Amino acid sequence: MRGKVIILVALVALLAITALADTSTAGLTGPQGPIPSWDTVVQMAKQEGSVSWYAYGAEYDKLYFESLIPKFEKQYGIKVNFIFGDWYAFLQKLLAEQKAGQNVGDMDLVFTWSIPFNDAWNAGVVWKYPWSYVIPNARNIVDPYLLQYTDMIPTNGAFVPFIWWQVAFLYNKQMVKNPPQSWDDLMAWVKANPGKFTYCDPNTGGSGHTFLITLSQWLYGYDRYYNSMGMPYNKALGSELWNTVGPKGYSLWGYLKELQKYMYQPGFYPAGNSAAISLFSKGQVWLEPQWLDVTASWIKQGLLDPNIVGLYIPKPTMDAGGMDGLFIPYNAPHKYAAMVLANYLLSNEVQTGIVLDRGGAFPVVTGVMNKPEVIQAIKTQPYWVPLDSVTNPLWLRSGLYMDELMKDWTQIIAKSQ
Amino acid sequence: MKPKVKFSVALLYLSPVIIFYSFIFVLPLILVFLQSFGLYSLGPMKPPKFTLEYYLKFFDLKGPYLESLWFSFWNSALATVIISVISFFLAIFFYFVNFKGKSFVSATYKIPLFIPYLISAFAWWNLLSPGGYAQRLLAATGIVNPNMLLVNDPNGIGIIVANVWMNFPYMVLLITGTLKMIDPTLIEAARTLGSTFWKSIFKIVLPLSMPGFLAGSILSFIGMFGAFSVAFILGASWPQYMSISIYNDVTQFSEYGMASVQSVIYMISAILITYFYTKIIARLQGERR
Repeated sequence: MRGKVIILVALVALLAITALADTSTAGLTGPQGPIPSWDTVVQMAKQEGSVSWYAYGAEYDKLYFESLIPKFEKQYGIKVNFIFGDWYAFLQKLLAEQKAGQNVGDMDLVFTWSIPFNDAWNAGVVWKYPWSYVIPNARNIVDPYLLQYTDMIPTNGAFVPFIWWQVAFLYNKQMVKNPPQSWDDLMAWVKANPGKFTYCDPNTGGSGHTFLITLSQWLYGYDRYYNSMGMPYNKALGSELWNTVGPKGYSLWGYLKELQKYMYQPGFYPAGNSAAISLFSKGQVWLEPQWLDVTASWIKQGLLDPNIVGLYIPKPTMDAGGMDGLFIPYNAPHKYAAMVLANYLLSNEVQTGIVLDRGGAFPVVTGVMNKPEVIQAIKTQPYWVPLDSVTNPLWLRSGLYMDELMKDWTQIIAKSQ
Repeated sequence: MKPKVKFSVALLYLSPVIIFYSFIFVLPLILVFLQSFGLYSLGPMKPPKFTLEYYLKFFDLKGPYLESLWFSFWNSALATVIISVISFFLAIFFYFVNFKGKSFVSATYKIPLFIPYLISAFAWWNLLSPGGYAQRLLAATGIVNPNMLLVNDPNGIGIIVANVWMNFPYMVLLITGTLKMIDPTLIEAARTLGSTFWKSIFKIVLPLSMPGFLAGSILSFIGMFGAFSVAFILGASWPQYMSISIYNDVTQFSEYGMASVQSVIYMISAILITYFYTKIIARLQGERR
């Protein structure tokens, strides 16, 4: 009898789970074959009537994204369900839906960055249709390469860049009259100003890992770096390269260990972008790699004195990006509407707003940076780098190798203190 | 006489609770356990394949994981010792000493109980970080070297300070509760027979308050050992609490297998520590009797 009751209970539980899982595919839309005309896409999108946009970012991003929605709804008559959260949760939701066999989900457009996109692609939860070639505004993207790669990860046209974040060197212009203009000068400057340079833990802040990957390119030479990292991903290659002494006379780890001796509180790495800029705002450090948008947010909130802020890109360059962007999930119920929304987000109007309203990020389409009001804003607001330093961006921020670099950094640099 | 209920009927009545707990507690643990051997994937779908790879990687003496486990252990253990000492004396103070405004002071020290861990961690980060009020005060009074790091430091000083602040009121309450159960005539008798106040505290009060002391210290330890937010805000890049290592493995590196092994080891460690700690204390109490 006892056994029968247990079996009964188990059966009831199993039935409940089965009932909850939605295995229906009814309601799925979106082109499957040849690329449709844009008019057809818009027409189908209006028939779908709504779109769910999942986005992540900081508070200022949220405010800007929310401000776009009424304009889009008015223009197309398509209702937008905006969900603001974090990219990790979005990916987990998609993976859970995939496991549950839920072929019709409720996420239509996801704003994320290269690594989660790569994870989503490998897990099979990305709509593998080259829709970036469908939307007209993607033709204006600053470099066609970005429709095929993000952080050197292949996207196969299923990911469209939306915002161009940029790391620069942030320096205290009241205390530092001659910041190191190039990567060649950095070590000498740090040694001459002990305790005044820092970079954040690359595992907790993007300014840290963008700094590291750009540094490694400078150490090994851009050609050699690109020839290695441009090939299909090979886990052993990164570790091998970073232990090798490059033409500048250092291996990456050797350079970082030497740098560490003269940094702010040797062995201490601020836990994230905010922790790093907090030290800067208190005058504890005078130079650090930092995101333009984080600097903009701190200035706007009154947490950072704009009079001490100096920003520039060290020569020859700092990697552009991340170019965070949009993908459509495999089970998105409103794929046409998602494409129309993505197209709107790449419009000249929205991309201009990224510079003027959001601030601290660059547009991903051409025809914005040469607008007089944009040029004026970049010249006058304190959270921009000089305009001419971003005219030749370098898209070499290799996401997969950067991931390995972050992991190895903890073991080799953070542990070496 | 209570009416007898058939086991199967009782099981049927309990089935909603059993199902609920199975889904909330048992199932996730089973899935984590299975994933640690490659038999299930909490992340992307992967065909199940038995492997000991993750465990071998965890127990690699040159790898980071054992060091993380050790750091989580000693740092939490040290905080527990500090909490125990502070809480015991505070409980004694509040129990034996009467003064004007006692109820106000007694309410004040409980404030940390009502503040979320993340908020407390961030507050301490602000106070102890370079240039923070507490850091400047400690440096100005010569208690610490002005260049000494008090947050995100490799010794986990910030983690200990925040953990002590957040956990001691809880333990004071537990010990105070136990003190109230001690027959006051025992202390009066000891004092009448010539014992000093402190001697009667250590010979009578401490042994008799051991149940509250034990429960408080082990609960504090287990809570801190696996805690995330304090270690995340106040911890260094290295060494890391194992909770941070799990977080990084899942969110940054998609190493779900390693995250699962660490979770399993965390659970087993916590159970073993609790078991042996309880046994040792029980034995000590037995010897004392």
